[in-house]
Amino acid sequence: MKTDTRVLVVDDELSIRVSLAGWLKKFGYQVDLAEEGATAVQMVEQRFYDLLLLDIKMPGMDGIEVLSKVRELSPDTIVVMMTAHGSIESAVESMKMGARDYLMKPFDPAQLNLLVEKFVQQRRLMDENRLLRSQVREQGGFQNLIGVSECMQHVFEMVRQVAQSESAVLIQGETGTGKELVAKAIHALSPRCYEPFIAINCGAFTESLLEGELFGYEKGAFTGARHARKGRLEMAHNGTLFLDEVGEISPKMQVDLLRVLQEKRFHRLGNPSPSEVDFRLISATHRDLNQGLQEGWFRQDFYYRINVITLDIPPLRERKEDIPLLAQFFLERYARETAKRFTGFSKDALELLVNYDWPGNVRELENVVERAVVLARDERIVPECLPFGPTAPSKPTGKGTLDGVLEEHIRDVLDAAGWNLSKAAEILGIHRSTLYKKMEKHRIRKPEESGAT
Amino acid sequence: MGPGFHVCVLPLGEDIGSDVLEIIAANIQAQLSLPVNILPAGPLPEQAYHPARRQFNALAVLEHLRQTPVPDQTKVLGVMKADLFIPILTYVFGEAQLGNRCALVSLYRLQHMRDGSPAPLPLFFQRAAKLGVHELLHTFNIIHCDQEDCIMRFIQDLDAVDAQDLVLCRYCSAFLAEHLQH
Repeated sequence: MKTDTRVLVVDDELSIRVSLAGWLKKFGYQVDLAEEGATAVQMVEQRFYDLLLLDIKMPGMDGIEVLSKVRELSPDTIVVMMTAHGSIESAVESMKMGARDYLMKPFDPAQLNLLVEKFVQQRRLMDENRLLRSQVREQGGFQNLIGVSECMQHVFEMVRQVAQSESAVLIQGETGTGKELVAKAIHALSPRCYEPFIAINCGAFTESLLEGELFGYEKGAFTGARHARKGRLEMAHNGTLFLDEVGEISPKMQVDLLRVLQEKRFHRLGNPSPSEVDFRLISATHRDLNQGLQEGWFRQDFYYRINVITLDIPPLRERKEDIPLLAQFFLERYARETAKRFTGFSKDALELLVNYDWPGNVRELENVVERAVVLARDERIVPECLPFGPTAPSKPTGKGTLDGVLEEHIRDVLDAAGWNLSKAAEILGIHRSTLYKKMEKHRIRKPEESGAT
Repeated sequence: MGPGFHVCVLPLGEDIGSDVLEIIAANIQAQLSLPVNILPAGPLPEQAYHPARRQFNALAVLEHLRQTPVPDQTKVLGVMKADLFIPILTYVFGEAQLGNRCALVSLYRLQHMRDGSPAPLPLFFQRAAKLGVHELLHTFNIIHCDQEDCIMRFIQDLDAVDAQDLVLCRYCSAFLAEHLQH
């Protein structure tokens, strides 16, 4: 996260600029330098800075004047004034004008670290708040869900209604439609909103692991249980338990969970005494559970217990009017993460997005926009940045999903960079730790390390 | 591990004592799996001394270190007894050129406990080894790390030095391995 943070240091003294930049770079911040106030103002006009460390006394345009221009040009930039002994009055004046704090040069290393961390954290919160506000006010958004289409407005209305009840909800929808966001929205609007929202992806665990994850265990309950561990049922006490991919739960585990739902108590593995538990259950699936009932892999009694209210989330192809809004939302998010500026999508690019069928739904759209942000050479997303644009490969790529496309793009760049992570990260316009995490996510390894497949 | 990378530990200024130098060298060798040798002591650059602050400017000492004649692919870790500062900070335990050749560590603040009493010798040695490895790793382009158990976490005071184990997390290990390979 730090690596997405851009800091501008403005000081007429070279040694201060160099030492501060060196110190900040060791934390992974992106640092630019300006030796004059006027240069700093030009730089702020050209790109967004999260934090400005600004000397008060400078020849020409002084720090106070720079501050007033920056407040006008970029009100969201946090400005911290730097001052030497004897210029406290100016520091106080700058605080009145909107500087967030001031530092007396030279600083204590621990103090500087705390201060920078604090302001970077504040900036992130400001971003989140602004995003939430703008979603609600302008974008037809609702509790992190975005959509102006009639079908999404219907979903929002359903969410409002079911949030107030205690009934179990089953959310149905294709992969990538945002079922977990809907579950979170129900929780956020429910009387349990100040209690935990605990999610578990039932498809991600084997039966025995899922049992341990849900019910928890005592030390020594099985080989390898070196410590007692709370299960998700216990963590969700008084709050909401979200069982994602509930269609993947084995029939045996369905019986165990049914008992918990009926009796409102459970046993940790290895503990004979039961624990009381009270939670609201929300489940989600992309599978047809009715078919499961017919074929016998889903129990009827469990089905009716988890499915008091059904919410169907429409696929993206059935709400194409939401695509420009969602695309703009993701563009702003990834522009912020990469500290790039974008004016939006070109008409052609937007048309391509709207006409595409989106088998991977909103998640696929998000991946496409993320990829476009990485590839974009100027401030507008054009068709060439899109995987189905004019220069896109004609054959299906990777695993046939957008994740696959992203994975293949990363592999291509790594190949081109001779598997030098730093170089590849530079080409991709992301920090190398972000690249490393993406490589881990997609299990990308250097060919000779991954072995023959 | 790395093709031809090598580390030189260079004592600077007044007599430092061979024990602490050998301990720093041994820990670097253990952590980085690179050959390390200790050079004969050299002088501290006079122009780096700031009489009003009674400290040496770490950036100026690093610039002096940069001129040490050593073969390519050699990293130089200067070790000195005197206190260090950089112009923006009141003091630093050490300093390094990120992704470059030279790093520097001062033993000045490692010799005492918070209450001013002398630090036990084993603790002093541990501190010197941790800071030596930390600063040297910056020259391999490793930035401060968020992982709590990583030696590349930002070290803000002696308590943090003492609480930190001398281990590299898997991310920093991967970046180091990459740097050594290329």
